[in-house]
Amino acid sequence: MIRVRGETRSARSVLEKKMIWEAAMDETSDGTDMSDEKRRQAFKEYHKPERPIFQIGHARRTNTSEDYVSASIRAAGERLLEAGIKTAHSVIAGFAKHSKK
Amino acid sequence: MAERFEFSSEEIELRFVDHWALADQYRHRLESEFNVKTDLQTRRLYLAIVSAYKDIERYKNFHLVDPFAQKSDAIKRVAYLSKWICRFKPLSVIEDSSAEGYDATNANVDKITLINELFALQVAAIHLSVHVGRDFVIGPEKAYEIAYEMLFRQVNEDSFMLVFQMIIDHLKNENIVILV
Repeated sequence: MIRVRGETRSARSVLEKKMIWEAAMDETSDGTDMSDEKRRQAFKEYHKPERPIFQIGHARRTNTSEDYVSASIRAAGERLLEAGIKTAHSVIAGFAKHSKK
Repeated sequence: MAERFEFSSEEIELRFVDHWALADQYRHRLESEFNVKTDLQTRRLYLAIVSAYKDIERYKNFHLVDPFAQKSDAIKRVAYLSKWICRFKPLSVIEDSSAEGYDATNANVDKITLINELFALQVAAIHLSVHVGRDFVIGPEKAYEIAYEMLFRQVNEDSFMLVFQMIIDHLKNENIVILV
């Protein structure tokens, strides 16, 4: 199975498109001139403006999250402040140590 | 061509206001901790937030089947926010070069030049804590490494996505490696 922008397309469907393309290419290599119409047809088989095939797999985990909640972000900012400052202290100490070398 | 998703001005305004509050809170606490004066340049912060959300729009329009209904998750959000905070550097430490004993060659005066990288990591921890439902900050060793990358190396938003995704995977006890 191949993931295409969050949708699952069967390998067979991809294979069929590949065969259409290869058939079109064979026609050319046989010396038969491929008409523009066939080229357009092959292009349309591959090109879905709303779902281009070169975006395979990128959306693996995108639609599982909660929406941005302002109050949650602000509250987390308050809760994590001291721990963040403590980390900042250690990081800065680490850089200071590094710069002395 | 499908209609393109865009955040409304009101949505971006809300995020700007939230991040301004986070930045203010963070810098004031740093000021008291390190005995320095800091400045928050609102225009730079505005550009960082708007740029991050423009990136998220592009991501959603490019990768999601229905960018209006589907959400891009907090990992993408913090990847883009980190990228732009590190580029626009909205926070700065005000140097008092007229102070007695000021020595520009003393490396110690650089100690808090990491303020934007540290703030980016703090913002990341805040968003990701909400996302994963567990409060955490990035530990000092890893924070040092990431801050170093942010400051000295070319780390792009895709790399940030990988880093933050691995942190989330670690928190969720997902098998990042398989011991053999």
